[in-house]
Amino acid sequence: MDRHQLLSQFEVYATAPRELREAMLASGQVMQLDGGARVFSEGEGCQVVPFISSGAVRVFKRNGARREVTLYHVGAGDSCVMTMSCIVNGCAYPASADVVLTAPLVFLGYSPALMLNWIEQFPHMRAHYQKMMHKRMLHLFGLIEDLTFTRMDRRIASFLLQKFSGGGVFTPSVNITHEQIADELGSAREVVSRLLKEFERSGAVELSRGQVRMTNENMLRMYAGQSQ
Amino acid sequence: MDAHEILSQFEFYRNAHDTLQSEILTHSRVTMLENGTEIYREGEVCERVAFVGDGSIRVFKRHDTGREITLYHVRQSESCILTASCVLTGKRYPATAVVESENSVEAVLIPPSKFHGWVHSEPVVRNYVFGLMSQRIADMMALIEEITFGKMDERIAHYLLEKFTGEGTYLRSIHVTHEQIADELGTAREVVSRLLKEFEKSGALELGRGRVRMVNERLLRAFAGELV
Repeated sequence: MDRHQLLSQFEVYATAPRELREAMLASGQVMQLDGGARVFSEGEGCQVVPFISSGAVRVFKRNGARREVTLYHVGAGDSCVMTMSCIVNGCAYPASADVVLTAPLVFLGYSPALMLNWIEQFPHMRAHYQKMMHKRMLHLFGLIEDLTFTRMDRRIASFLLQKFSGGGVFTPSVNITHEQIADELGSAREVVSRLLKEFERSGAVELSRGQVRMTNENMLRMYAGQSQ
Repeated sequence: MDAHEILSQFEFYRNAHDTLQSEILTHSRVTMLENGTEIYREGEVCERVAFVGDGSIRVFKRHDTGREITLYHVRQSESCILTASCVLTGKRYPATAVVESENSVEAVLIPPSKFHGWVHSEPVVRNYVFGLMSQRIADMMALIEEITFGKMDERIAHYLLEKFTGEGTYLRSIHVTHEQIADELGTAREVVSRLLKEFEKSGALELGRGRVRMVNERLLRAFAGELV
């Protein structure tokens, strides 16, 4: 894929004024990271602003021991401006990020200094930055609400439903471990296993090693609190 | 306080060039909001950006069940980033904001269109907003971490210690109801009452009507997980 093709995935590029488009086309470096690779650890922050072409990054908080909670994902066609906010502020980024296991990450990386320049110079880039920050902030609020008010069984069921029908395609079976689900939702593996067992007993899912199969969608939706 | 006095608490105003300062002043209106005033309800359009000179505003999410979780407070010499972000992106306010302080809130109000214009044309205002935004996002991540991994007894003890010793003051006794603590931490009043009773039995606190007295600070710190 050439640079123009790669950049055309991004709305901010596709709708940019010519001067900005040319600048974006002329700079930035195509980079690749393996699935599972660490992008940055808490307190480090990111040295590049990534525009992701394929693969995805999971941003999370880890608690001393082995528990994690996923804050958000950044996927293809998305750019992550969050770590840039730290550069603006001169603080360390308060979370860690890994490439998701399933696929390598391909992205175009820009230096934060360059991005800051564009934000200063182009209202178009500024609006993009503000929109992204707002979106992430709303997402975090939603997560806080969910963590506070929604029971874990409902959260696991919604999470699975999303996986089964993720990206518009329907897959009756997903490869995921209990540990991965726990990390996504900020719970302990034991809790997830116990609740999944309950889902299985009622006939909503079927469990096997590293795999969850949906056997009764209605039942799973009931667990998620989605049916009347 | 007049507008200049209130705004002087803000770095962006102090650092603004003379023309900008007087332009900001021209469009400022000072307001007084009494304890309990609801400023924004979820889903409302932001019709003013507030810069707080005195008092405190609580920003929270309310659940169908009536339970609440505090997202953050906007205190003296702070501004509500959520309002700013909504104004900049044309979105509606995603939370509820209520005055909650013994002193009324004194604040400068600025019309959104003016504020929007300054963020675009004045680097000093823009940097202020971007800095505030990343600070708030980092706070949200810390809150998520606390909700996910922090135990409620530790969170209550920590919250009380903040109240007793926060902001450079040292108080022996504070006015707060169990319900208020529950709303702050997004839990049920019953949970708070049960844990406070436990703290009292151990001799860390003494409970009165709408009042909590600290009897043994070391013990309270132990409950907060601060002592080894």
